[in-house]
Amino acid sequence: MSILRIPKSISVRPFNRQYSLLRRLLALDDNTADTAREVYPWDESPYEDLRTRAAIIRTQALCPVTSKSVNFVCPISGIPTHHSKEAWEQDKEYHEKKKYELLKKVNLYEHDLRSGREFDEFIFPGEQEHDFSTSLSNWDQFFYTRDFNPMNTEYNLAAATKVLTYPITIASTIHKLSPYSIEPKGPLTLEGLKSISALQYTLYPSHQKKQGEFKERPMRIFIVGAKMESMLPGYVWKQFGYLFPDTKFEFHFIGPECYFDKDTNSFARSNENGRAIVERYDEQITLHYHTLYFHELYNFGDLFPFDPYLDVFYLFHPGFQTADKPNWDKSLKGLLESKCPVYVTGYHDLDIRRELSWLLTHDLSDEMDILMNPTTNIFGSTKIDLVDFNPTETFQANNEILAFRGKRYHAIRT
Amino acid sequence: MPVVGIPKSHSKYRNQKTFEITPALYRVRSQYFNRNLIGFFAVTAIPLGVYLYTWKMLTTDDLSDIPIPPISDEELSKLKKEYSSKK
Repeated sequence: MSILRIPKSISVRPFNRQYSLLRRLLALDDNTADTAREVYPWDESPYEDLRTRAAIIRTQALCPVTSKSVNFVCPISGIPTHHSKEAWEQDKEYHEKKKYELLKKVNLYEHDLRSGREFDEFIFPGEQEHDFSTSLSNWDQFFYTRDFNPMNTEYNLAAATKVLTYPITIASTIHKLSPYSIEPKGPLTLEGLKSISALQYTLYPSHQKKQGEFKERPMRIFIVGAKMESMLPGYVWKQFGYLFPDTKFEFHFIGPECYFDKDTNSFARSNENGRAIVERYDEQITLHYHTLYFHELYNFGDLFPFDPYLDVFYLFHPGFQTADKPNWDKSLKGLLESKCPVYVTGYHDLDIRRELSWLLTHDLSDEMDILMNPTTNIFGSTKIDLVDFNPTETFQANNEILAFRGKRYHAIRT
Repeated sequence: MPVVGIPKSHSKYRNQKTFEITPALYRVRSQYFNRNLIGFFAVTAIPLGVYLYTWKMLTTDDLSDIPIPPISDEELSKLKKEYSSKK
């Protein structure tokens, strides 16, 4: 398993550089294909946690063809997927959609993360120079203009985007150089433009007016139902802060799984009066952890008043129709009453359509405006993951995005 | 601030010794490739067009449109003799 690192690979063949430069310039050969990596079956992986995970798949998952237990390792991807070789051969969808290619990548990414190579991609850049603007048109442009270490292989990209997708997804929706344009060319509706304009009024105040005339308090970003994203350290959120250097931010993580206490190794619960655990990263960024459900917190009223110019909600893969459904039912009322934009992300196309159908068929759907139609999130994670109880299903974090908001006027039936 | 050449920052995006572009920079630049190609052809078309037009004009022109003053055959032969004697 050799690791391709650019300085080494070039020092091996320094003399054909002139030719290769021209050829590659014309052909735009991105030579990111890293074919040298070996695919280990998870059962025989050198890393114990992957062997355990393979065992979990074998106990939990059911074969998509025969609905029996999984007992056959796909020879291409190295992941146990089907009951037997016959079932694997019969699964037409699996072969037609080339799902094994995705599963192979899952396998390679997981091994790469454990390989102990140098993770240069986690060396983050500092402040953005005033003269250089940041491009938010895609990941590559973003990394280049922010001067990250070059993400030369897909493994670099997968590791970095898995972490940065949360702050940069937020930034890409409210930044002035947001890649999402208004209908019919883009996913943004007219109501969406109104909400984003309100937020940008705060983020980019007019130079004619006195600074601080409008902003009496920091901008609040609520991450409701926070799970993974609340474990991200402050310097990852600071990458968001660098994109808006003139504004102060409070990140509010809301949900029972939002604060992982490393001392007790469990999800801590703050005291019952709903007071948050506050971590101050620096002048600009503070992180607040509310370990209650959103509707409980909303009823306490500590977060009032909500202001559409200063507050915005993000629901990263909420799973409206999963076991949490009763809580989301109660929370939706508060989300809509706040009149602030609410962004929802999903793991894949099917997932975001499920979330949207829940919203549109809900009792409160008359009170709701869609701000952004479901669309592929440009700053989704490029790392492909696997569902343990259905190993032929893959997903990517924040792959799809939509937005809604409570109606800003009384709904009148005509 | 120098505009031409490799930007001072982003130096990690090229090999430090050979200045070869890294795969990451290829991906960054790839979206500009088609537009740059069109721009390249547009810009080179101007001097190339001027050159070809000039070439065409110089090769096909027999200068017949320049009026020759009336001259008698006698005088012409005299002038020709003068010209050849000078050589």
